[in-house]
Amino acid sequence: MTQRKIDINVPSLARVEGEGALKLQIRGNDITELQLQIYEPPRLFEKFLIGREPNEVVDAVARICGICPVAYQMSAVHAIERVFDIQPGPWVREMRRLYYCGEWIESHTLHMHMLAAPDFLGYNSGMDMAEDYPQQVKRGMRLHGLGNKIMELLGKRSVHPVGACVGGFYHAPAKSQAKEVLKQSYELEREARDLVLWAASLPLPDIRQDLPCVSVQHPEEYPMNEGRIVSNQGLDISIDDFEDHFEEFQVPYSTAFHCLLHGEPYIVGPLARVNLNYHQLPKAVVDVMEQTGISWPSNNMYHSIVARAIEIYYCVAEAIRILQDYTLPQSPQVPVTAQAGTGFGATEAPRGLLWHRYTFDEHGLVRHCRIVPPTSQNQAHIEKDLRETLHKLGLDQDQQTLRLQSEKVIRNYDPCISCSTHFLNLELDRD
Amino acid sequence: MTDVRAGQKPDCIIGVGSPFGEDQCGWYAAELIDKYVPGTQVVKCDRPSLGLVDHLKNDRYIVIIDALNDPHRKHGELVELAIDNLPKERLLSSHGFGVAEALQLARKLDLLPNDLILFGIVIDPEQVSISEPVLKACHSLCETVKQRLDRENH
Repeated sequence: MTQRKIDINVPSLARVEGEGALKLQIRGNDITELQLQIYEPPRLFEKFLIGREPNEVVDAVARICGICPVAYQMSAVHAIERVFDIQPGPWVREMRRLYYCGEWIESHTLHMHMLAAPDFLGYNSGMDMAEDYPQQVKRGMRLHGLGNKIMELLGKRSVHPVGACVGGFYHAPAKSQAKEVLKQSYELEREARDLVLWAASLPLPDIRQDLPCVSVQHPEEYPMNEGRIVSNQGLDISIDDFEDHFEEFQVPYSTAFHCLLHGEPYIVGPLARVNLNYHQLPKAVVDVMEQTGISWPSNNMYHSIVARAIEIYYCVAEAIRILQDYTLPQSPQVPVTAQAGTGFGATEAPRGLLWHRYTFDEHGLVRHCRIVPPTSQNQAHIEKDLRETLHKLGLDQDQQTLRLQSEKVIRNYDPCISCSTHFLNLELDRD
Repeated sequence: MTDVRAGQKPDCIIGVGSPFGEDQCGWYAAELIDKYVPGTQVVKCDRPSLGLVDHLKNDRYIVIIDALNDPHRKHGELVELAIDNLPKERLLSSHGFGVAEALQLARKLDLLPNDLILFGIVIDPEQVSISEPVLKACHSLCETVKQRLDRENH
């Protein structure tokens, strides 16, 4: 009997950040080749940060990504402050949480409405969806605007913000500015809640799988900037020990590294965070989670869109909590004295755990750095997910169906390919 | 080039750009016009993406000025763009959500202003600051707006 042969090449993945492709080869009932190909050029941040001063690092890493600059800044400042033994104090700590709230809201709303929801409602694009769901898209844009406003409050601008520094921020928002953002947060709190219910009402596939989840965890709050690294398989480590458990490696078909935990794929991101930390969410958020009808923790990757909505609602509530008690500090930053040493930072970017390590010399200049973005960490599991999902779907489906389903699987992870290609090991051979 | 609307002050002039090189020209032109058309709201948007839609309302008369990177046009050329001739919607990532995409989304959401004029100033992306041809275009645009308003108000 003639064996069925299918080759699917998606040369450019739509509705993902950055440039990636998918190569799939099916022979009979087997997937003989599956490659998530990242061909976006590496941008070599880990190399050109060498020799830089600490605040140059903070400004530079914000440019790794246009959607999640805060995450890069936060992982960097926390790592650098560990090296320099700096305690920025409670005002800075709260403002950093607020700053992150802005980014989560901005990134999650963009992904939900422009990239992910069209999949579940049967549209090719967010534009087409907007025509039939104008109220929902407008709501998403109002929330997106709030996210940007929060980021601008502290970062001075939402794209490649420049307000954060080692030791705190360059400026403290005026009380009137904080009050304005608080007012907007109050106005949108109900809409953020409604967004959770809307996301849960979408026709999401019910596909369960083994989901090893990893995130930061903090004993007293939903994780953003501080905590240990945990998994739902018993991992509980200091962020300093990341490299003892997680291994990055290069595959020949991708400019972005893959990463494994104890040799196995895993996921990071909103679903992992909610699964591991929902007990830290405030009552109002937990109440609406119960109304979704979803049992948490969830092992359905398609619930990622609901997890994003939950986090948006949480961030609006958290912004209100922080801003309603806003006071001006004596100084928005603490003094910084550089010293030699190595420090680690692990914070939760919108897409998941973002880990940094910096080594500084006695002049306060970077001697070595390492950055592990969330999208790199998800790549191995994306490929595993694709294999399992396509097998369950049935490899005898027509090519178009297989291709579309593959793209949906990838978009669940909201990969930020631009982030994941910021580095490459460079071996230079000179005469 | 089509004249700007006779005798009417724009409700809002939006300069779109970024701090880099000639991509600042939208901001520069908006600031110039602000001097000649006092009382008009001037907004400078830094890579606004979806945020541009926040400034658009049906009942407003809005002028948008942005840099245009078009190797087929002359450096410093001032172009009035028709919204119907903007690039067709393409499948994109949100990193690539520019002015064209924002206006198309506004149209889908019925948020497009009744009166919208979109100007592009052709830039050289290699320039590290605004060059003479682009400065000239900014001043030319400003002068056109001023003359038109002055003429109709006399």
